[in-house]
Amino acid sequence: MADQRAKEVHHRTVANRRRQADQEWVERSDRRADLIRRENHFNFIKMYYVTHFASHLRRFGSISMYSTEMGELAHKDQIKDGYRMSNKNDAARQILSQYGRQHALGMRLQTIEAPSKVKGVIVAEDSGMEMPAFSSHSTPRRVLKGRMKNTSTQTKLCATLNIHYSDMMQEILRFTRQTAADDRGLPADPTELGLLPVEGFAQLEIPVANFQETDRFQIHWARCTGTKAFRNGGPRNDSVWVQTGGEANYGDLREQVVARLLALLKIRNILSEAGAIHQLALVCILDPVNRGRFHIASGHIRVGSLRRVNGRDMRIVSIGAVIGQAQVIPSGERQCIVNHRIDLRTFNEIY
Amino acid sequence: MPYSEKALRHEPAEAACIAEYFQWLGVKIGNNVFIGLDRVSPADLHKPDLLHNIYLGLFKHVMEWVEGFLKKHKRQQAFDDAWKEIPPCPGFSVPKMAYCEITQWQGKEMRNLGRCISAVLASALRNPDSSQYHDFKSALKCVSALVDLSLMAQYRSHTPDTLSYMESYLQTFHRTKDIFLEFRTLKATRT
Repeated sequence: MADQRAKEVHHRTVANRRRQADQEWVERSDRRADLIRRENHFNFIKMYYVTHFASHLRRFGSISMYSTEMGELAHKDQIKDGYRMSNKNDAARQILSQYGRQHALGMRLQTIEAPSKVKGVIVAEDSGMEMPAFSSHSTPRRVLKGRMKNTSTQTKLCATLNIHYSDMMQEILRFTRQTAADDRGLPADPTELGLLPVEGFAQLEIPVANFQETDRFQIHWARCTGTKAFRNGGPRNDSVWVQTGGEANYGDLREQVVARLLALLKIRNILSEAGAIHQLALVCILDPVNRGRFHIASGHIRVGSLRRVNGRDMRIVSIGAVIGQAQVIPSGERQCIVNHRIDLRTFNEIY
Repeated sequence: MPYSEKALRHEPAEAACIAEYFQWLGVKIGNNVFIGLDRVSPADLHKPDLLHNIYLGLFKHVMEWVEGFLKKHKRQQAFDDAWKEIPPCPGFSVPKMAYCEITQWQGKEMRNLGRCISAVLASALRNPDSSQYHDFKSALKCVSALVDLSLMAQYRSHTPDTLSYMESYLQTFHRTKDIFLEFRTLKATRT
């Protein structure tokens, strides 16, 4: 009996102590929150500097011009590389002259190239002869690369890429109907279409003009390896931006939509005399969530998951409609986030 | 030549007042290299620098706050998972290590981080419950505004519109940064 009572008292004191501890903890965290409110601040110099960006832009122009990244890079380009080039005796003098020489040569090359950008031709020095400009100055084209094995007919291609033949055929027919039906188009008859030779490719090179600098191009290599592994990793089927041509409204995405590459192929129309080659891409359009509007909380556009692929969302497009690579970050099982802050061009277009 | 008269180019009385003020603060007025130059005001010399001010400055601070924020809301694992799944993209190098393993950041890596951080964070903070909703929303808004500002600062040419956008991003950043106040580690509040 006494034992029982002792136990009860013990329980009571333990409960009391726990309550007291909880209360103390709450008080302490309240005090801490209070202290944080009172003492923490954002008054540091880097926070303040940013307020001058706009006025600086108005007065002196683009901020990138004043970036110190160049100066920091000079530690390597100018000094370390220069030292490696030298014979290590009296290196300072050699370092100085080496960088000066590189710089002078670079300037000279740019001076030679500059007139050709304007006229499309360059005048060879002293001879007065006009030569065609380097091919690098003309607009680069989209190129299909990396031919895949076992893709010489459409059935083989579909088997290699694990796509239903009927889905593929249906989409090509739809594409044919949309494009002009003349001698250069594809036949509208499924059996004739099935006989045409095809080639499958694993890579699409897309030249994308630099943002605010349209005579320079960045090459996007969009990969589409189907079920095959890419460089010891998993298979890579990149997501790309595809021009829709105003066929549907995708909200804040405007006239482009994110799609995943499923196959890249060339079809040669041997049945017609022109024998035109069609370069096509089979893509799966990722359905924009909330009709392509920005998500209220996170400020991103979300699309359906990369993993779910069904025949309904597949489209055949000409490779000319593929604008460039997109970055899509998975968010849970069913949704992905389109990262429109990946480069300046995308950031400028989607807001 | 005393600094207070030559460089600040104030009236002598005003300059004396400034000198007194600094003495009261306990700050010594010294001469720097710009002292002898005409038409140079040291206060005007600062040039905006994306590398040290944004990438290695503010991004670094913001990442500290974000780490604290994730820890508080127990979303570190989700963040690391999203970090691992970043797909490759041209002009962007995929991080090779998990986020928590990286101890040192180069300018280039910070720039890379700036390009993906808002999307990764949005992925890590998905499906908030009702008590977290507002916190998550303003945290995302704050980070995104800073990233937007840094991206727009890289433009080669500007219009009045882009300038006003930049100012509005900065305002959004300052308006929403309060959510991270408790994660500022200062000497006074470190426990």
